[in-house]
Amino acid sequence: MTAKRGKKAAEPEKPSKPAPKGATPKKPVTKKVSAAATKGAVKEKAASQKVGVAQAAPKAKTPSKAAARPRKSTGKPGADGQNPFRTTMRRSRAPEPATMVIFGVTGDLSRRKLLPAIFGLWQDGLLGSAFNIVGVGRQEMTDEQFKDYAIKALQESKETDAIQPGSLEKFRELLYYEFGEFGGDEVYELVGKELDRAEEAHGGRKNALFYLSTPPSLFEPISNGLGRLGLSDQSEGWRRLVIEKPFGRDLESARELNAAIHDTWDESQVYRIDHYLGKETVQNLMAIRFGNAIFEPLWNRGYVDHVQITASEDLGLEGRAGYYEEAGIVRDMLQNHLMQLFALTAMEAPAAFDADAIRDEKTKVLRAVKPIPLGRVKEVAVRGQYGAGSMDGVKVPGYREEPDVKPDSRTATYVAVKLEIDNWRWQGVPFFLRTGKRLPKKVTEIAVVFKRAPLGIFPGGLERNVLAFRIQPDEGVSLKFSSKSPGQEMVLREVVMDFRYDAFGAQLESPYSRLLLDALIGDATLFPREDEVDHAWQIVSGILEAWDVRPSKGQTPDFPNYAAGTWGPEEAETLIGEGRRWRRL
Amino acid sequence: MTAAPTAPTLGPVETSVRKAQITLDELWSQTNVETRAYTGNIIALTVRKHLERVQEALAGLEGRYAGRQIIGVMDGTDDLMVHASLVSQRRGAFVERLTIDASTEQLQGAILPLLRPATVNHVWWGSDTKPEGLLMRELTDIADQVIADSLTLDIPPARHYALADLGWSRSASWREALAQVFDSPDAARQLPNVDHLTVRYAGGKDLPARLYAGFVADTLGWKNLENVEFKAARCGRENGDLCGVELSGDGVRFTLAAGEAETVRVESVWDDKKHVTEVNVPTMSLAEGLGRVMARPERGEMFERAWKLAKATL
Repeated sequence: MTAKRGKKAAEPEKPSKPAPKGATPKKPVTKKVSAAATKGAVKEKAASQKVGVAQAAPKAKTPSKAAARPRKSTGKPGADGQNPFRTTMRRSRAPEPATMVIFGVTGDLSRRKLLPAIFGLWQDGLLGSAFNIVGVGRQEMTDEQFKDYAIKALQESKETDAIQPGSLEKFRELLYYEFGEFGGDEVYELVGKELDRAEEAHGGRKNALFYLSTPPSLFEPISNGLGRLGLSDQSEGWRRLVIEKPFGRDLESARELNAAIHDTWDESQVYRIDHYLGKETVQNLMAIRFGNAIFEPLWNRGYVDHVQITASEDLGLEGRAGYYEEAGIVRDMLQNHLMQLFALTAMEAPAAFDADAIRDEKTKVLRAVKPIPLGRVKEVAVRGQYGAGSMDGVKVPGYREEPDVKPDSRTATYVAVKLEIDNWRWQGVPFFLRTGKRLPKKVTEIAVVFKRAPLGIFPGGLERNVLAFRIQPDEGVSLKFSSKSPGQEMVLREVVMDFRYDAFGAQLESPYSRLLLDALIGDATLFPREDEVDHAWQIVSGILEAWDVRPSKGQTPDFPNYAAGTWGPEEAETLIGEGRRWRRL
Repeated sequence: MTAAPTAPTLGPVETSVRKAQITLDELWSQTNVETRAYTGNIIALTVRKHLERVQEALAGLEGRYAGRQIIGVMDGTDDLMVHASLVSQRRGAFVERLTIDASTEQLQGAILPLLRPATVNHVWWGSDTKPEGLLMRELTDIADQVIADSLTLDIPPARHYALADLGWSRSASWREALAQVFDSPDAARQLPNVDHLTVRYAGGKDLPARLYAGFVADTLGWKNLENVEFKAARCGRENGDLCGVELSGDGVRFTLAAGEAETVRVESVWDDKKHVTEVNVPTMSLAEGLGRVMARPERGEMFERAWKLAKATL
């Protein structure tokens, strides 16, 4: 946290000869910052802050090595450095040779998700001919020990694709490890040497993707350390930073984190991972909305009564009490995953399927959400904490009885919130978001509930049509409508037309593999931008203030208020209002 | 499409053209499947000696490409026979299969009514005899895609259907591997120095290698394949697959050589520096090759240009 801040400008320096692996450097590698470059960078950042959108990455300098220039005429394919083969490929974009540097590589996320995702991409031939992984941790380990560790992780993880004969042995050769204290300089010098070594071995530029798979408290020290040693500088290859949620623990800390990161990195270099956006069916939401003409005309206040977004979990804490007691359901799920699903459902059609067009639209709809100041919280949000109950016929303890949870804990494990959007499309259409732990089943769904037909000409009541997107499990889309029941009478009943994603017969890819590949290619479409994260925090700030910061203001919760294995507290039924009900999933 | 994870294939049951749908419905009723997805038809035309291979390839083809498979065995008699089955797929799904054994004339009248309407039609010519006559004409009329060994059968690309070549499709990983070598701008800048190409192929079938050479030559702006050598090689890969590629010229050399398992060693030399890497080039089974072309047809223009250059060498 005490690291010196200052944007590293794109002043190229002579590429240093790579030192032998493991050698101790004489002094840290630093980069000169020219006044003009600093000015340019500041101007660029100021512009970015002003308009609230990401700016293009600084142009990478053309390699100065004369040797790299062709000796023949310049009009021929390839002479301009563009790959003529790539333009004819089905995959028109592919990662350039690169090194992926994973900080916190011995952590749970890396072991269970990241390494299997990278291995899957590599095994499918999607990572290019020159790709390395450098694991970085505080734990002392040799390259060989790390290789053993990673291979074991791949063999044990459920996320690992079917391993082809000989693949693990080959993948092992791509792995390297460095260790050190993240607050010092040495570990970053070693990382820099790894990039030198990769360049020497494979040619190409020193492209690097830095993945911070660490506790959030280390984001800033690592970001600063990389900056101090010039590793964010793009003159010798692109440099990107991937960070995992939580992006801050409230609006203020999120802004501080963003500011700290932007001291070193341009927004266009920052990739914030929300793995929900890597899920096939979340992307399918956009495909169905904007790839078909029949839905969009109905997607507005004229036809939609309300929208329900549910992300329920059947699990309890699973040993994460330390984290959860601090975070709670609002930070863990609502501010990020649910808010992203909400934005994708409610946003306008983007001008193009590209990063800025989509993120601009998401930001616009988040901005249009009616603020929830402290005084409105009671009216639009319900919280809950589970008590003892029964799940799948097995008795389970209440939240407060979970190991390492305070017996009088006030942490919410359930939240339901009503969002209203002040724009022409959605005026008067409430969006109900709910998420919780120890609910009856694990399911994530977006349900667009349509208005009833204006006039009932058949006996019986009119039901509402529902278009539901199931994100997990049983990924798919269903449409509920009324149909005549067979028989002499004109009796209508509800039927469901169901499309299941598994009709494609394909195994769904891990969201991490999609997102990692996108980050390596430089496609930020599925990564939340700074302003999206900021607006999402703004929306939940009042709720956090009411529930966490000022709990004594007449808001003391009567916890526990729902039994494990039920759909949450009674107050949630009141929230959704008369004539509506939560979907029974 | 959920059912027991290891459901057995149901059928074949003898039926007729008129009763085929009823027979299929009866088979469906024996499963626990609640919904069916009609993703397309694939009509595979073959002869008895290739039937087993065609059936095997189609069995590995997932339902996402074609929910109904119609196999026409062309060297039958006028005594038409139809068999219906539900072929078990991974994750408890099924695809419908109708096998028709008849003369070509009978087949024409039998296949068209059996097509699941309003969906995509793929026609796979899985035979080494040249397709001709009314049957092929009728089928290409309704086909969205014709899949065939285009150089052997001399089926030129046409405008009213997408022509796909399995040899071309199955060398896709090699094309991708070559593209990856030049994703590095420094390597791409050396391409103007390349003036020679060697393609090594496995087994005795060099037609996919010729199409591959056509792709490289066209991309580099070569007018013909004069500077291309084709060499038979052994590398443990299937007949029709490639074993290696080398692009060379004044002071530059880029070599891709099949190594152990599915890896390919890439050696790039320019400015007297050698860069060595390895890349995965997965082999593609016939079913995977079929799936690939059916999922999304190749960019037609590239294939057509490669086809013309390759055809000129035969």
